[in-house]
Amino acid sequence: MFKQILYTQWKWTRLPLLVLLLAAFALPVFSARGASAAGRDNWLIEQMLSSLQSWGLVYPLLAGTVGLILARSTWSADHAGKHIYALSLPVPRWNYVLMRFGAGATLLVAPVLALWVGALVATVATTLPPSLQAYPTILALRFGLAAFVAYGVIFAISAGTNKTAGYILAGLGAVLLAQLFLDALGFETLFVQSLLVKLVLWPGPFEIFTGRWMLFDV
Amino acid sequence: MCDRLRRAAMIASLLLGATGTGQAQTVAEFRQRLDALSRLSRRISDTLAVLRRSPVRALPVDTIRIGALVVVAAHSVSDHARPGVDSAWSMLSRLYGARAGAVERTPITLQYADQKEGELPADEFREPPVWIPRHASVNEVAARILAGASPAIYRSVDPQLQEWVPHPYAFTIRGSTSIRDSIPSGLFAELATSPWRSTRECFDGRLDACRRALGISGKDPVLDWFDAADRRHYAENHLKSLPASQSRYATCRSGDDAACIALMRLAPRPRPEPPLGVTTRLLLLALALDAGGRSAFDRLLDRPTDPLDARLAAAAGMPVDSLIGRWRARVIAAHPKTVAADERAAWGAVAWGVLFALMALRSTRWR
Repeated sequence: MFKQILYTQWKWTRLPLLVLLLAAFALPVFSARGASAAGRDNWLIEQMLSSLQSWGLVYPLLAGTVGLILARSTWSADHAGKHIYALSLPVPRWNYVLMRFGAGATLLVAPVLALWVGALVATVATTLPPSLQAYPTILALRFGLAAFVAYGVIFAISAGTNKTAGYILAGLGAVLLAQLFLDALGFETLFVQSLLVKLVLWPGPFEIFTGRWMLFDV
Repeated sequence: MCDRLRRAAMIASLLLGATGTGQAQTVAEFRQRLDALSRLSRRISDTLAVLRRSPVRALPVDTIRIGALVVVAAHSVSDHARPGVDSAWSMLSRLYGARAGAVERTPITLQYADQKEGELPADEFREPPVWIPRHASVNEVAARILAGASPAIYRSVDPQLQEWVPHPYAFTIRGSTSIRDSIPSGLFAELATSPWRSTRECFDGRLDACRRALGISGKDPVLDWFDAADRRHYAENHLKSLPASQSRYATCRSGDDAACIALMRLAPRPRPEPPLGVTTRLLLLALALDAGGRSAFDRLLDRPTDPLDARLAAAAGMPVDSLIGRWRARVIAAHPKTVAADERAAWGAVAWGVLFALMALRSTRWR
């Protein structure tokens, strides 16, 4: 049954997945353009690292997009069919949800592999100065983990009803409004900021998205 | 009161002068007496300045005196400020030794953001107030006091040292977030990616190159710290807008090393900027003072005409290569966190992903 679910999810997502594969492959290749020049001229190292750092913002964004698209498409057919197909299956809900989750997570491997291959190609094509190192495998692994977290969040939200998603969005909106209201009254309570810090710092769920995402680094 | 002090100063000056006229004096003795007079005059001016703080004296202010450090704070905040003053003095005296006494001449006024007494009135005889934010910690108060007090000590050091490290604030060296304890990871990146030849050689482990990169050795910095390519880039980065030398600049850019050397010698700075930045140099100074103990700063200033490597070695009480080796090891150990997520973060991501999946199992759908 898992095979069937995996196959149907592949059919639903193959087009966006293809675009994501291309993007994942191209990202390290594009980001490393011009890096070889720094291998020949030490005066270009700083500029090269700075350029790589700018590209570094795109990796977590792409990881988030991969997770979002795969998680959304995992549930889209069930939502459209009012879950009749799922209810007609002779399996308990938890089993069905786990199979859906597993199928989406399996498809997640493809963009990670594409990024890894792209990073390896970029590394082989670049002559680095001796003080710099390439991190193709670790970059791909981190990309995979970030995509997995994003996939998990969106999967959990999408698994619920529209009402649940609405509650979550309303909750976030209420927090923002409360912050604006308190700011207007002159209170120095920065709970949105501290909430964000808690989300992106250990043990927050999005810690993996932060830090330096550079294929070549010291 | 002021007239009495002035009269006392004049009498003291006359007495000092009179003691000097009774015997033949050498130039050195004359200079010594002149220095003594200048010091006395400065002390009198400072005392007058303190006495004439009438606008502040009219307010409920407290004077906190710990060691030689004099801090004026509004009465409502003085209890809060006291531990910070204590900590600041302790750092000053540990770092600057006997020279920390120089802070006595410049009382520090603290201005808390929300103090009951409001803003203390400005006074031409005092340094501008040191602002303390609301709910500042002891460390923060100490750091701000040190930033206000350190220049009074450091401005009296020799020009060679001042040029090498312009602002060695005590808190940067001794405080809870001091540079010797938490080395910025940028220093490793600087050492690893710097284009200057001496820095690259230092990264590879050559200690003599480290000395040149730090700007503490070499008879002729223009020739010893840089090679021909470095000099051309130095001219491009630092001397492009040097007045009346545009033709020489163009010749230098075209690859004429002699023109680059001449251009660097024309620069207004007596010595070129060393290849490694001021923060890396500050770390070396911090390590030297740390290793040398309480009188390290005095030893550093003892021989102002000696080369900096010899002075730092004297301050640290160890051979300069041992000091440089220690400095290099600390910089290399401060390797920045690269893309490699640590194991904890990786397992954290897996755990969160699984947790979200489990949350999906408990969805309200189908209930």
